[in-house]
Amino acid sequence: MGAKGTGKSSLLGKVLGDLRKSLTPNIPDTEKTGKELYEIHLSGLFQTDDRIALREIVRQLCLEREFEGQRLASFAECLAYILSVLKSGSADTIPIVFILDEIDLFAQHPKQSLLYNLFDAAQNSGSPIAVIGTTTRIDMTELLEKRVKSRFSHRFIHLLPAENMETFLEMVESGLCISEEDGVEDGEYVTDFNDAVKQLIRADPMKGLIRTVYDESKSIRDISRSLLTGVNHLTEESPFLDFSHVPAFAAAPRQDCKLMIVQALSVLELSLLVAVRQHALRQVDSFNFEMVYDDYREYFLRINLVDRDAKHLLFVKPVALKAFEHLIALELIKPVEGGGSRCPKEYRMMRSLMSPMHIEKAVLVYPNCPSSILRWGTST
Amino acid sequence: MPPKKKVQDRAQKLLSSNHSPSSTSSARPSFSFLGNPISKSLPAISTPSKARQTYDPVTDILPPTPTHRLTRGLRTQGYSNATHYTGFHLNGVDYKKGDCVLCDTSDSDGDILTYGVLQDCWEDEQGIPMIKVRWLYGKDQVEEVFSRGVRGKKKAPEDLEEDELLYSNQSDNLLPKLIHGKFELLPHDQFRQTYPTGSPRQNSSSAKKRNKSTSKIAAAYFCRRGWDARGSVVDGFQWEDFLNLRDMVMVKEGSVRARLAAAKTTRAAPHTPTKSVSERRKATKVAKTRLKPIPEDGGDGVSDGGQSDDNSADETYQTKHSSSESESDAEPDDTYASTPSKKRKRSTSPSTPSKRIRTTPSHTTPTRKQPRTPSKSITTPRTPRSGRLRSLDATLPDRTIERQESLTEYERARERLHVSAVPDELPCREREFDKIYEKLVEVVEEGAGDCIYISGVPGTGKTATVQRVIRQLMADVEEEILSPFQYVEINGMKLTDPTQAYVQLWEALSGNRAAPLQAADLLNKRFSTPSPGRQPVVVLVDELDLLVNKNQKVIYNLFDWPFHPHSRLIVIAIANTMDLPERLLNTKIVHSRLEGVEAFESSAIEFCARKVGAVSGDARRALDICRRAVEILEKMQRNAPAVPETPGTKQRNKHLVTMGVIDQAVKEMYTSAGVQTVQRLGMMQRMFLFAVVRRIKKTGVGEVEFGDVVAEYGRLCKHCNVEEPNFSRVVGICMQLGGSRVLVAEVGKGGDLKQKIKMGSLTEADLVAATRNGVRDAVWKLAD
Repeated sequence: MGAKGTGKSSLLGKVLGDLRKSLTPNIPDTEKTGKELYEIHLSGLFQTDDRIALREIVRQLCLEREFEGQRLASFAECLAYILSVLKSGSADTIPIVFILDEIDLFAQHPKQSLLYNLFDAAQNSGSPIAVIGTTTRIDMTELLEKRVKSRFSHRFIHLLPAENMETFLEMVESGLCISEEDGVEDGEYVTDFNDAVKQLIRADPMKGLIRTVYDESKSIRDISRSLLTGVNHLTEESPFLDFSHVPAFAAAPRQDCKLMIVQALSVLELSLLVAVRQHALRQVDSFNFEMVYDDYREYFLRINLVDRDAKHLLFVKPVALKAFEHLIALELIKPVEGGGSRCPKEYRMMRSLMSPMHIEKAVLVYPNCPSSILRWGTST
Repeated sequence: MPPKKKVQDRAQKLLSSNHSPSSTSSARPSFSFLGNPISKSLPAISTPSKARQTYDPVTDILPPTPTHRLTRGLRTQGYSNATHYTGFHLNGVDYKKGDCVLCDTSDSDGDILTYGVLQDCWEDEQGIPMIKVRWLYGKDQVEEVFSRGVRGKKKAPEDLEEDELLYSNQSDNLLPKLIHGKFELLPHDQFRQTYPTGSPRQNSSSAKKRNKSTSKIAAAYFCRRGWDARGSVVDGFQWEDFLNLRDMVMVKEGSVRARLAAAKTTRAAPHTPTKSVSERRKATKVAKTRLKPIPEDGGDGVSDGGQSDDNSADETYQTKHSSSESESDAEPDDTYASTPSKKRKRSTSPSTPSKRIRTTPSHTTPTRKQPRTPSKSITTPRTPRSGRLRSLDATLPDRTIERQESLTEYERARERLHVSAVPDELPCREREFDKIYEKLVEVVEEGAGDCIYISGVPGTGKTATVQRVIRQLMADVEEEILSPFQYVEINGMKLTDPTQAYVQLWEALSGNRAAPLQAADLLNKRFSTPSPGRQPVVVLVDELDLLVNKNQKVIYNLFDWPFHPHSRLIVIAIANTMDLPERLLNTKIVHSRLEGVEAFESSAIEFCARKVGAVSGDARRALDICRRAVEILEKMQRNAPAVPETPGTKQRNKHLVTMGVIDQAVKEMYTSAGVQTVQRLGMMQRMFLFAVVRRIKKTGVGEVEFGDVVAEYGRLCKHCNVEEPNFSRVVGICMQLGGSRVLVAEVGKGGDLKQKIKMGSLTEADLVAATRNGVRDAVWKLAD
């Protein structure tokens, strides 16, 4: 149990690998048959209902036991087969480990019969069965139906994110450093590289990036994603990680996509968006094109008196309507649900997907923004 | 003893008049009672004359038959509204009490003619004529019953002769129309005198028409032995003793009741089942000796068997098949008749005339019959639809690496505490055990049907108790205290569809697979037709509530079938929809598992029981907690610095599970990690949460909109002098929190300002407490 990016699956993978190793301590890796333990992997995202999940179990069981090319049978048969397999075991049969990724999604299947049967098999049949589920939801047990809950052993392993910045840095470091298992032979290079990594992540530009991620999500995955380009730049000429190789778009964990869209808008579209903002400031949630255009026209007619440059910014209605439709297509504004799809598009009610503050910010970053729009967009 | 001449006369009469009227379709069936009504019962409550209008024996339309339950209690108490007669007249033949009759007990297994003794005939409350027939078993039936029911040891007597019948202790109430004719039953020596070369065979026309049944029925049989439903054969039996049948019936019923009474008293007194069983056995022995005509050692005597039943059954099958191809074969051959179930497997459609099959060589069986081949025989992947899955080896292979036997005390304790390790005795459930046990014994002995409904919260031992009872009953059958019965388990959770229950039940009863609706039909047919030698069937239906489908047909049928007159079905239903709280979890449950293992302080177990009992009373939970506690202790031991071993009690006590350890385990299981999770969240996430809390407080509504929260969040950041993350990142933060359910955010609306956000499983106070740490003090001031 743990948030995304806390390492649930990787921990599980490591444990299972170690378990296999400890089961066959004396046999070298190459001679392993892989038959000391059956692993059956299911994911709530793939096996969206019990029917598919059962088929997958049968398939993997058959695969493990080299019954390849079996024709898949009906749902009822699959269930009967699995139950008989699970029942047949004794303390001396091969252990089976079921790994259910996103187990909360399995709990949303009707009747939860898969979970019931797996838990029941783990508790009541003599065969050695372990069921391990991973989930991000902390309210997992409340999803289980009471019979299923009763059969669940209530063992939780919580994977919590790093407690302080220092541990988080260590985690990043261990991810970046070359370890013994990676099989790099040049020992001198390994120490040099690792030293460079240690310096890099504790020096400022890099540390700032890590700090942002730490503040926001504490997800190692986000860090790795940003640093991937940096790692890809490693060559013989530049053998060490360097922050300059991390491009700007990767360095920022996530950019504001809406701001970027706004930056590419035309001036007319921007001014319509600002008119939308005016509505929002007046606590009017929904609006239609006519209302927006009215606002827009009024403002520019007023401005015209003082600012001659603003004259060319006033467009006729059909042109403005096109621009308005473009805003809808970009999903900066959106039709109100149930707002009568039959009425003419000029009168269809819309609502904004950007808050007034957000629009204001967008106006501020808009390149070469005409001063009249800038004034209008930042007014309160 | 009737004179020889009379016997011959009767045989003559039988040969001339038997069967023919009923078999010719043009002849109208006729029915009337003979003589005046003899009523040993109380004055009639309802007038028979009025009721009589409802039944017309000619058109054979029945008013709804009363269920077995309605009449059963009355009859056993001696009350009855039925009018009894000495005999009746059917299709031109007179039948009297004590006559031996042939009955047509065709059921789903195919057409069978069975032998019986007419014991009684009467007209019941609704004016329906009924007869009671005590069954006699022919050679093949005995073999079939033996191969099917009695487990393992029992074998059919080898020296059964072609014309010999065994007198059974089973009887059924039938409609008279099922009677097919009469035959002669003689004592052994008399039979030998009359028919030194065996009984004359008659080519019965009705049998010929049916084709499936025997083509040759002997006109006379002899009887020299009795047969008990438990599978023992009673030797030294004089048929003459039983010619006064009424006496026999009284003796038999009396003994059954005496045994039941004995069973009840012994069951009720002590709580340890093993002890009471032995006592019960003694009681039964006493009851047995009361059975007058049977010699005292009769119950145990079984003729020593040679070959196994399976072999003999196979042989009959073989002979049948070879002889079936030569139809003109004049040799008497009733092996063909009474192996119906075997035959069914070969020619799957019962309606197909067997003549066609006879002429068809077996290897050209039509292909459309293949899918219905019984599943057990599928070993080749030839069948198209059945899927090869069932033919696969459904057992797991053994470990490649030897499992280590558990050595330490802790490991043993852990093993014992696993839920699957059910002990032989179930503590705290003695009373329930007794109740269910008594009821089942009663119903199985009576050969009736019944329903038992058990309910309770999960983990209180419903299934375990029933399974324990069944094990006890099986042991009783093994020891011949109880009649054998069949046991079927159906779990609603383990069915893909409620109607699959029919399939499972039918498969368990017949060994054949069928489609759900077909299986329901077959079961219906089976439960409403009489059949001699049918064993009671105990069906355990677990998780009953899941068998509810739209029109509740499945549950209706399951509860209806037991009360069909010939079903002998006992349904035990388990469900927990109705919560009967049983909050008292006893420490005995844990103690009973830990016998001989020293790992727990008794106070620790007590503590655990109290903790769990206060919440749910779930025994599984208690065991899980104890198991976890042992693990924790084990880990503590391993991590602790090695203490020099000093043998002594003091040292040992230190290694037991204490209350503290249990408490730790309980906390681990019950406390949600919510608070901890929030404490470890990133700063921005916590601030977002805080913004949500503030917004909720401000509006006073549980649900807030994302747009408002973002605005709040922005203000909060400004106030704390923190750089506000951009919009997309805020959306990301909200999604993360939604994913772990700290917040509940509307799905599929990420980034929409109108997205609804609620608090998750944590309370507001929890959140404030959790966010307090780490967020800057400035944020804090705002909270007040």
